Amino acid sequence: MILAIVAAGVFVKQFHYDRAVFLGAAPSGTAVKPSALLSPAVNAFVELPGELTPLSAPETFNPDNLYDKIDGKAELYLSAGVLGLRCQRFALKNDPNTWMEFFVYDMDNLRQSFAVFSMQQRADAQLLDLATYAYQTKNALFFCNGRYYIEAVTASPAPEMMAAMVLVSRQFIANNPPQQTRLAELDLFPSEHRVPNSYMLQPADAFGFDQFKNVFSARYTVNGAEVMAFLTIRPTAEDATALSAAYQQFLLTNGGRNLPGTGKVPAASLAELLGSVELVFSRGKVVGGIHAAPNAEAAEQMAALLYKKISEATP
Amino acid sequence: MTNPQDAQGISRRDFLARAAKAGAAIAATGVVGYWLHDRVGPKAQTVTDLVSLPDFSLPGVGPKMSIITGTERVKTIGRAFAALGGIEQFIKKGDRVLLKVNAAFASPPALGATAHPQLVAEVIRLCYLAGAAAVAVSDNPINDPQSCFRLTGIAEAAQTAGARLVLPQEDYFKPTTVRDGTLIKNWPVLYEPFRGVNKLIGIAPVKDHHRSGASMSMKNWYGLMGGRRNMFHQDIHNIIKELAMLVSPTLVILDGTTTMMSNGPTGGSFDDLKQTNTMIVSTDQVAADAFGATLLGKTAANLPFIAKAASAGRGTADYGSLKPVRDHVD
Repeated sequence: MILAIVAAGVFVKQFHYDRAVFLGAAPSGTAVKPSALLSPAVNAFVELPGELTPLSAPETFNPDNLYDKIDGKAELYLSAGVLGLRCQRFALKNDPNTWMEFFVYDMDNLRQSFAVFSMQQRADAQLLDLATYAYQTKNALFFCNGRYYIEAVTASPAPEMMAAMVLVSRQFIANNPPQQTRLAELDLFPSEHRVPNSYMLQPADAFGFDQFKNVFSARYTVNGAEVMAFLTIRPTAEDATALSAAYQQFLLTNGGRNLPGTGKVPAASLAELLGSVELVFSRGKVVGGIHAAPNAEAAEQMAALLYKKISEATP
Repeated sequence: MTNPQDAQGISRRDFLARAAKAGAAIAATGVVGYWLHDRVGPKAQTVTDLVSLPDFSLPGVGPKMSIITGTERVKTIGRAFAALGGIEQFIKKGDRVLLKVNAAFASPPALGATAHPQLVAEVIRLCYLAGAAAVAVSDNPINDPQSCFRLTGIAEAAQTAGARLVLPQEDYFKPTTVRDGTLIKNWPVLYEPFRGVNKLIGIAPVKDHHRSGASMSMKNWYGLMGGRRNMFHQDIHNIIKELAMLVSPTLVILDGTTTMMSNGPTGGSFDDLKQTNTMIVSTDQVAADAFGATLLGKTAANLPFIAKAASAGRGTADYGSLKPVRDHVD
């Protein structure tokens, strides 16, 4: 009986092999006229303001086929733990040629949504009051809403469209209230000298060091020199001490040279590597440091501020 | 707990009967299996099934390159061809031309993620002006093909300019293998648009790429691949090299009028773009990409696929050795 069931299963399954593995993916059509390419209007997967209407059907992607939507950029999301993407194009009702696309990436938690948000942050962005982590460029909105990372992008940034994009975003937030809105690690960075919009979270392999996971960073301008301060939190103080030592060893193994410190930061290790200065220390469960400073003075000055702030927050 | 029947044992007669039934069941299964067995099996892709793309490069022309600065694509592409002696040096009367554009995303032209429709239209016009008998435009986009060709503006540009738009469909793909390659083996390639064609032009924008560092002329051939091609992203530099081994174009057009400097290959914000106002035409796809790297603020050495393609004999990373013709057009 079992053999019969197995045989029947194999017999049925053979008709359902994935032809796309052997042939091309299965897009259809040829020699299509532009006028025949219009997508039918369908329901929106988000609540729309009155001025917008769907231009296409919603699309859904998972980690296995995210490449089908964003090609090589999928790697950025996959490394941060993406669970899925829903997206859809919407047009102004009174001008169908003015349209935008709304992307909702489910990143599972705020930490991971902030990671992809921060790694793509545009330099000249304007902060937006939509959410704790949100900004606007000339033609797009980018923000974190708890576990979701959202992009709203248009190529026709007319005021009416930009306003409509904000309305859709606000409604999305209202309908999906986030469980978490702030990352406590960012409060450990000093505010003085900090470059606006420069926070970043690298989920893995920060600075090429495979043991550096979930590393937060921010850029600073100190006496005209730009440096990057970073930190990551470990389960125990012992772990933090060991990770700090391992990073210093990583630098030395890869051509770095030990530099003497002045003692501004307790137990800090400094190294010169490829013409810039790296500094690392641990304070309790926190590993902190400075990346790519132009000289030891700038590195120690910024590290002292970072160490002080961490000490105040984690006595 | 013991079954009373088992406890009593079975008779010799019962044993023989059960053994006969079991034997019959096994024999029946064997017969059914034999009946269902496909002695031929799924048709293998034999050597004779494999296709290879023709060599579209022009014999005797040698590596040539022009680099034209200017803000208007229609003007810079015209000057770029003129600098090489005119498009007539490459497209002859009666030629049947395929333009492999980058239409990867359903993204408007202003975001710089795809070939610009104005450029596509102008190249079609120039081909016909040179006497081409037919021009076709094709790509196998990442996103839905119809949406991609429509929203990029390429569909309208192609058809307004008189080209045939060839969207991919399942039976347009044939398996191919790159000689001396390790990745492209028995892999489906968009073959149908090449039938009857004797000239091939690649048209691609200059873009940052999260995985490979850049997407330019050679990466543009990725749009000829079918199947589960995203697996090749795990070996991105070698797949780009093999794409360059797969395709020998008549020439490539690398559009650096607007360069996507960051967050590629999709971009999304105007802030990802920079006006670099440069148009490149070259018969050497490696050299074109080597120069394109400079528009991204990089060098050829920063992009391993360039050295790999050069080592495979597909061109030179030393674009200066081609003595490119440089000019500017207002």
